[in-house]
Amino acid sequence: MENLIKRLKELEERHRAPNGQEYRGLSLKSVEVVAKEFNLSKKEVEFTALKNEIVPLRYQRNIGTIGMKGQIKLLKSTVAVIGAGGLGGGIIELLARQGIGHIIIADNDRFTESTLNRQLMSTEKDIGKYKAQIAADRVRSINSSLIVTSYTDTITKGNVKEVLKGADVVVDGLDLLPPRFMVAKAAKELDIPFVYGAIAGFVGQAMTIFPEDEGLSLIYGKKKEYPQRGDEVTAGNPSATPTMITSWQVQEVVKILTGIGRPLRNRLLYLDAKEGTAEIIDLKVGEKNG
Amino acid sequence: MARITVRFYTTLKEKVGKGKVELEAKNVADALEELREQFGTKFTDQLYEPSGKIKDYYILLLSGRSVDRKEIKKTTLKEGDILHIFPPIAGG
Repeated sequence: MENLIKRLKELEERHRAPNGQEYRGLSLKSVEVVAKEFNLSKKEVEFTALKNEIVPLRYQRNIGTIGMKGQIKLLKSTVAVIGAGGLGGGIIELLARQGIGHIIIADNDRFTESTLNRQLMSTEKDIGKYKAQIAADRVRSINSSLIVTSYTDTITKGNVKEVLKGADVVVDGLDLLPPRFMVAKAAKELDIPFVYGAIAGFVGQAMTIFPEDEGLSLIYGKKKEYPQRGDEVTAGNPSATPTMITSWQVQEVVKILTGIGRPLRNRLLYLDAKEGTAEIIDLKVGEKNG
Repeated sequence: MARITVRFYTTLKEKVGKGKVELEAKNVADALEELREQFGTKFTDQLYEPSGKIKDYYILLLSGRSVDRKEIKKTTLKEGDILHIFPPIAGG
């Protein structure tokens, strides 16, 4: 360990942050060199550097917001993203840039021409390919220090817990209601926070659900039958609506993992870009009407 | 009777042509009846099944609490309550 720290100190570079303050940084190349020399993963090298107040340059702009400790927590974390389409693709992109140590991606679907308008991971050359695999490649190309696991199986009651196992947070990138309820229930049973998001047309909504929270039934009530889809069937899914919600979902993940800020628990965020309104609807817990 | 605000969202808002309306009613059932009178089929076609039942998946929140649709008559309104009526959104 001492040799490792010594080597990191040899390779550290002096940089200036935008506020003029000098900091000790570590380049991508140095991370790679040290990983090879010490037979460690790049993530372990970055982790050790951060612990010794040497900032891998790729995370420098995160540090002012979440601190070294926050970045270390993120690197040690596992986040599962269920669905890699409009919401999921944007979530995965941001989680990779934020430096979440292990990203689990599950989606059984493939890109088509009609996903090109809004699904960040889709490109013309990848039409017909599995979303989960393309998204995993994207994560590796953004941040090769991270571990990424992808599943192209359909998520069912039978396998959902296997997929979510080990995750510190589960993020909703689904486009149908019944699987959303299934995944939220499994997360609750596994004691994992769940970050809900949904979009239709110009509007989107998001909320964070901790295992002890009442969850989606606060919004949808306690019913047994849910429709597959909602308003988006007629309202469409334009290009900018997914990222309007994925940004909030990823901020929720960062807050949950670092303990910074106030997650959107029992509060439904409702954004209407058409009207230019943003609302928080406080959901009352454990109270009956009447 | 209590004076309340009803808020409509997404497609429902577009169909009725307004985002909110104020009205006076005793309970949720009365408030919905008042909306039926004001907006006719623009409102009822959205919220109800052809059988007259409220669509299962519509979200009704009274000042932040989910409304049990079997209890809409018993769900009394207080001055200043807000009744949010949301079509479900599920896209991803």
